[in-house]
Amino acid sequence: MPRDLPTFARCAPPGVATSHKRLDGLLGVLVSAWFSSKLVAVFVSVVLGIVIPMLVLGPCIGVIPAVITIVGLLQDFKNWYYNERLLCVEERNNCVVGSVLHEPTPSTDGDRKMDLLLAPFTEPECYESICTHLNANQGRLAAPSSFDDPPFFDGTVPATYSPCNPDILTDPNATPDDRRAERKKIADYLKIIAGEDPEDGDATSNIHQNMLVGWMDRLLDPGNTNDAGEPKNFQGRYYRKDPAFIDPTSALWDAIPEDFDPATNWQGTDGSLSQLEEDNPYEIQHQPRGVNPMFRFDEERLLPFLHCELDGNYIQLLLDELSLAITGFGTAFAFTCLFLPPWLAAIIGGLLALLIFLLQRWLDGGSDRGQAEPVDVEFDDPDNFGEDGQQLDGDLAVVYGPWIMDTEHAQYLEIHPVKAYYVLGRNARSGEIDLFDSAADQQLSGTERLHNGIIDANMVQGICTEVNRAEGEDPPPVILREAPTVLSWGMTTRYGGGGIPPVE
Amino acid sequence: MTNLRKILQSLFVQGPLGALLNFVRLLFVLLFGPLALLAGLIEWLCDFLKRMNLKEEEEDKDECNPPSPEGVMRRPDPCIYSQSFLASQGLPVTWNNPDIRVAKASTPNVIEPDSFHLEGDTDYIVSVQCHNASTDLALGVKVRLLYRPWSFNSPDLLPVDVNSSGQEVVRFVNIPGMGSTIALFNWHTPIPPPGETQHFCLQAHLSHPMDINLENNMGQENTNVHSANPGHVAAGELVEVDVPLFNSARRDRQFAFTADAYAIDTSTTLRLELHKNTGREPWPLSRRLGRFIPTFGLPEEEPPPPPPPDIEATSPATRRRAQTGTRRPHFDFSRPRRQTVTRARYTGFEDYKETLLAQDFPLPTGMEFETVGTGPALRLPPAGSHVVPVRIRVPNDAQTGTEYSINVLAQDAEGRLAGGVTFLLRVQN
Repeated sequence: MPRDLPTFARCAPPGVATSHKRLDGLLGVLVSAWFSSKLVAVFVSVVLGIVIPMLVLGPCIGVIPAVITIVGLLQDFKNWYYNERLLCVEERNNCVVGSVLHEPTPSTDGDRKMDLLLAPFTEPECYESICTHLNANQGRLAAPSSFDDPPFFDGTVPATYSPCNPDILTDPNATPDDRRAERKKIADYLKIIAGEDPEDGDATSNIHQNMLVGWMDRLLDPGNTNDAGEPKNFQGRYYRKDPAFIDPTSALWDAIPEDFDPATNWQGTDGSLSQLEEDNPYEIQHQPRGVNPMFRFDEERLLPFLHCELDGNYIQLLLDELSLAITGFGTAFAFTCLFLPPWLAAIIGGLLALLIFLLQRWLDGGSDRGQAEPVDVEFDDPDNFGEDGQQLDGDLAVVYGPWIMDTEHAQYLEIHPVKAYYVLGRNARSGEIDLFDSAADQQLSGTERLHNGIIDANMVQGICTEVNRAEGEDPPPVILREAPTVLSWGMTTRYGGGGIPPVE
Repeated sequence: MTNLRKILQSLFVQGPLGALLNFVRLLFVLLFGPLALLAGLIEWLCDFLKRMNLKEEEEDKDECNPPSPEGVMRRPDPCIYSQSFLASQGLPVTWNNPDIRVAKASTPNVIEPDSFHLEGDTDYIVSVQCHNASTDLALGVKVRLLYRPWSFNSPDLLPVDVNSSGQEVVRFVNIPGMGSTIALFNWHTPIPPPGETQHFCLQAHLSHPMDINLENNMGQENTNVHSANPGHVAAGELVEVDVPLFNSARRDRQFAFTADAYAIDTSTTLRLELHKNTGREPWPLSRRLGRFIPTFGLPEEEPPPPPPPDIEATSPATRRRAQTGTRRPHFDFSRPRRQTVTRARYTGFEDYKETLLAQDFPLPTGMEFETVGTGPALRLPPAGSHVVPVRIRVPNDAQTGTEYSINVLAQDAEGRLAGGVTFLLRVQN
């Protein structure tokens, strides 16, 4: 049913959505200057925005254009952050099924992040395929030419690849420590070949990107099938842009960086390196660039994931508080400057701005403001069963929300904002092969449960049809039911999840 | 050129407008902020005097993973006709479960009229109708179907359906809000000795991690498996059945036995109304005063159009592409709203429940019921068991074709239901 859930971020169409590196307007000029030279950017901003107006107009009146400029910049930033940062892939709500990789964590902008290993892939399968892929590219990984990729590498092989055992997770004779050690070996190696760009913490080397793209090609290969012989790539569009779902001739296709090259023999021996290069529309440095994986990657557990976020509005509130405080400063300064020396007026204005900022911060909810957390409410009917629902590590879940691409952080596909979360099962990530230390742990985790590995395309279709229907309609005001049905309910009903349209 | 226009727009439109609106907001802050602050101080003092403690009350929540916002989480209530839950409310019950039906595998569309006349060594399909009493969709509900030896309450349970490895077959079903769906199991009935009848109790268990009511998840159905169908009774016949009773408690318990002729009413239709329960953020006076200070907000989001129900099956060519257009930057000068959360459920069966509670369901005229040798109450030690000889005499004037549904209940001294069985007696003179 449609929910009364406050959401704040909206995705934008191609041509409008952009990263902070490609902003236009006054903010864009400042950001560009920042990337050219931080010192010059700060100097120019202070001189043009504050010093010159004050010199030209005098300190008392000159503060007004300075305040206007800063407030305008803050509004520009807010508009970009909430309206232009995310690219709409499909603005309508999408339904994805997968298992949660960790307990959701709060983000600095008030959102709450969670990551989904999409069904039907399991932890052991992901490990096996990445290990197989790296082993198949051993020669490529030993070639200095693969690492001629400034600023990450200068043509020197950073580490020697030592082949891994792809079957160790399924080997009954392997100990948990053996398994962890083997996985850590690959994780450490991949971190080394990811390299480092001192100016972009999200960027990784071309060879690292290519290895991930090739690995995804193995996972999404139609020949990778389940026990019934059905391909496992039925949710692959959330990991890799798919011409079956995004028109290759559309602006949307062009707005998503290339994450695959059909001319490359990705699964061939030493084949996982594409020659394709193009300008990334969201980056400004090191162009043109090679293929860019559109999925995110858990570098410790070697799992691909779809990033999802619940919406908070901390940044919005913070920017408004800053705007208010700066306006307060300008007003106080301009007024007191008429009677007092400018330095004293500046101190008084600064103190007032600080007080106003703190007051508004307190009124907005203090340190908890703008977080994607449950609201503490008092219900009309206290007969309200059920603990607050938690999202847990290992949940097999349906996540429902718009499908977008984040233009930041080297770009990736995402569900944002999450509008509904359905739990299908707990402890459901690994399937029948679990990384347990003991039989007791396995027992505790439970058996005979739904897990990522047994989800197939038909199940996802059935689930998502039900979810789309349920989320798309309100419960009718009146229903008719026969007595046996009401008896089956136990002659009682309890309140379901919250957030439906409130009582008028 | 576009860039220049945007710069000018920032400097001469958005900046001045934003500063002006902030200036107006500032006036409100200066007017109401001190009042709100004063009110907040008084509230804090009152709270301090009440608690006499400078420390904040410790909240019992996981800071690393706080609960999710109400509007995001979905909470189903998978359920089935559950004798124990209904009986705990004082309602009459039957073990002729309306949610468990049996059909021969050879004729899967022909549901057996009851589960009391099944044939041995035969493949049956057992349908378990799973309900959802929540307005939220139930996804991935686990359904188990077990059977146990004939008894009031035997602790032994065996899976009805096993796979080729001998492992229990469980089903996972999706149930619409306030709807139902069916899970199917295969059951090859045991082979009773020639001329004998074996009794089994089918037990369906539903489970879901987010279930909001765990009490209505287990339902039972009595079955009789005959070596040769049909099993029937004659007018005046004394039906003699021995039913084992177990005391699974760790203390002595006394059990009393009663019988009634309750059968589920299938003719009544109930009109149920949606009842919403709205929770409102409690706002002390300070927050109410603070509410007079307007805020800048982004425009309200327009909800996207609902997708077609079969969106996953829709061909790529017909799928809707990404929307064009974006919200233009503008300012909302509106007061903040108090946050609310609304949950919903259907109500309206209370009258029907009262009617059921007020009704008696006496045995038919001329029918006699007795548990031989138990007296008014049977005492059992912890983990003790006893075979209860149940005797039911069919009325002498019972006509051919008449069917009786007789429930025999075992209740402990506190009136709690320990177990029960239902006899479906078909008269053939």
